[in-house]
Amino acid sequence: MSTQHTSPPARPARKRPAIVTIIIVVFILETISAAVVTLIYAAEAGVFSQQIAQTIRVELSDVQLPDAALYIRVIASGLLLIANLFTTIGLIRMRSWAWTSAMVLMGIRLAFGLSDYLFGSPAFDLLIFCVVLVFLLNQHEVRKAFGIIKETHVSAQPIKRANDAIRR
Amino acid sequence: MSQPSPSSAPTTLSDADLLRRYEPVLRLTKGEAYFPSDVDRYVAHCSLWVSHANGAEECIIQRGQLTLDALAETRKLEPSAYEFLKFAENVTTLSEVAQRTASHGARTMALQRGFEPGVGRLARVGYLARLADAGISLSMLVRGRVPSATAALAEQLTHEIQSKQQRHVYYGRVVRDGGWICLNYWFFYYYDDWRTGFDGVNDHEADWENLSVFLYETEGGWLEPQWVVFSCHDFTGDDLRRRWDDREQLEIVGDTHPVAYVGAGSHAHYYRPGEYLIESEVPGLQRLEPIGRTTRRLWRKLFGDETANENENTPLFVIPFVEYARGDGLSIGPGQDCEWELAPLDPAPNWLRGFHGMWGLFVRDPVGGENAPAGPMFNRDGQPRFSWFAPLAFAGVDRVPTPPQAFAALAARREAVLARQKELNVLIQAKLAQQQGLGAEMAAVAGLNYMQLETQAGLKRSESLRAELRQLRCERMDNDELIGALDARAEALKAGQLDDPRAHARIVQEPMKIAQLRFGRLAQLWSAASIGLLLIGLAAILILTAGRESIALIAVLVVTFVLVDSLFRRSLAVNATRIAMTLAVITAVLLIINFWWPLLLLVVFGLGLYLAQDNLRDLWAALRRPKKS
Repeated sequence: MSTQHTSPPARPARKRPAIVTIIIVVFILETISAAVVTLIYAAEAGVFSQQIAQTIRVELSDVQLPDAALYIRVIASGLLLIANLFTTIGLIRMRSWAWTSAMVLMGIRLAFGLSDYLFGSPAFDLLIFCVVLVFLLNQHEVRKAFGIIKETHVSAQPIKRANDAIRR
Repeated sequence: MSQPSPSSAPTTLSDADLLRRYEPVLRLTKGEAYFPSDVDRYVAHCSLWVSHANGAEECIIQRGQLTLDALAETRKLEPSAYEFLKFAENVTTLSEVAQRTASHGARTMALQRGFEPGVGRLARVGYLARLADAGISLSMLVRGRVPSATAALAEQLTHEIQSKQQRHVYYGRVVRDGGWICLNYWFFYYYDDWRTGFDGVNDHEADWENLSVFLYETEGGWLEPQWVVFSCHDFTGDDLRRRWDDREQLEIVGDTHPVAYVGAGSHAHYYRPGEYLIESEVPGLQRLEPIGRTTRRLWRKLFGDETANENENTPLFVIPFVEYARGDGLSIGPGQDCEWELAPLDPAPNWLRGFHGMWGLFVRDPVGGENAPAGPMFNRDGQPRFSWFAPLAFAGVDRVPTPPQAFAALAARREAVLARQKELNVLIQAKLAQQQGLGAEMAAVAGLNYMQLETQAGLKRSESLRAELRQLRCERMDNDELIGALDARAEALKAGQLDDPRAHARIVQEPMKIAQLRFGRLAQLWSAASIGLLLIGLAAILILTAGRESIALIAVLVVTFVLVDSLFRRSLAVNATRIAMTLAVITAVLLIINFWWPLLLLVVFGLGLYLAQDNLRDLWAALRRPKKS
């Protein structure tokens, strides 16, 4: 007697709208820039050998911060880099958690941006970037693509709504 | 002649027998101290007082001397004076108050009787509701309220009275109105310890609750139950009503006895057992509701947030109270733990008609919740009680014909609409003839310059005639549709098709699902303490910092509290996303304020670009079109 092996049904591929592609590209660039920033802070904090650090310092940075603040920044930017990396991968693979993660990341950036604004050193470019990205993430087709909006069928509407319509 | 159903009754039954046949089953919650009882012994233990307009209180009849007959006597009172009863005597010394509350506190006693509080009410609701709740708790410090020691004493007294003889009484009457036979059952509880015993809204001496069963006479000459109405707090309207055959909502024992689940302490009636989240609106804040609704609608449109849509009509500022109507305690009714004793209210006894005052302590609570209620016939202000003088209208039964009446009502309405259609046909033809005549006249005078005034007047008349005709035709069309609908309804009734049993209800109260909280006890502790901690944190920030630093720290504090709360409620992702959206909106506003001029230029530039592209495309299309030879 032979047993027939069947492979599990493949997850239906979600269609990727153009806006999602734009968001992904932006996130890839964002991840690269986060990696560069982390690298700079790490070099300044003395994580790398003298020679590598010297190269990075000369070519990329003019950061002057006390040691403790530097270490905090290394850790913070490192965490942000990891979060960015995972989010970007999730966005490429069209996972709904990646949408939430992208929103949370934007929220953190906006919080820092607004705090800088309140304390008199606004980074308007960062603020504009975040607002545009939140706007893009909230487009109907993007939310639909990531499964944030559930599609409902007419037949699933409750009976009561039909009664309301009759009453009206 | 149609056969009677197991729940029908012969028309020959007396009112008392009818009340008996459909008397309800009340299922109370474990921990409940009070159950429906008689007014006689209660009144015998009360003293009668008058609260004068100047605030002075005067005892008119001492405890032990008061009877139901004495209560019914008419006494002259100055305007703004109130009569009230006192059941539990005043507890005067501090040590006595402490002793009574500690040993016989309503909460302690409820727990001793087996009441399980479950998930805390504050853990089931959001921050705004908790804030409103804190406000109400603070208001109790300045509002009049029934002292906790009174609650303890009332319970002791009730226990003493009931231990001599257990009586479970309902007061019943039968009202015949609009083809309906309303069996109206009233229940009297000696005390309402909802606040002190079960974390509810209020406490008060004496509590009157009611429920009704509506019957109609079938063509076969039997009485058939159709609707049941349970009173629930101060709610009125169709939502209180359930159809007899709605078995998902209404439980029936022995074919004829509807089951009501009684809220612990409050004695409100519910159709299904469980815990209910009662959200009472905050007095004075209803005016802010339109702002809340608009914000939610905007939010939904801007961000497509569907959860905002779900909650669009729920009030923003509500005080949450959990009502425990579990039905796991004493059950009263036919074949239950205890049987009923019927006390008829037909004709209305003197004590019911004569005493307009409050049936318990009057504590001058301006909101009213802590003052005792008046009797079944009256409100606290002495005005007639809606549920007594109009039991049909109380739950919208006055808008519903009985099933046999429905056919006649449909036929009568059809006749009336058909008659109107005939009238409309005549009217339309007459107006049409007028309009055509006017059209012919206008054609004749067209171009005659000495007839200009007449032409203008004719045009006006023609416009007005056209509007009238449009209105009449619309009415005729509506009536056609109405006749179709009436016919369809009559057919459906004839075929025995039933409507959705809850089609009349706007909101059907359902027991709440037990809140899914992470780290149960910790979450409840957080819910109980968070508002207090938040306020302390806000005060500390305002004392220790100033200016922009304060704003930033307050924002961080609020966001942190919301996120911690979300973590417990498993809604971290949703709330984090909402916070991000809110921050984006704030940032966008700041950006517009800072860059309004470049933004304006950008918009103008974009508009110019769009128009140029659009016009050029048209031109290009025109150029490419082949020329006609």
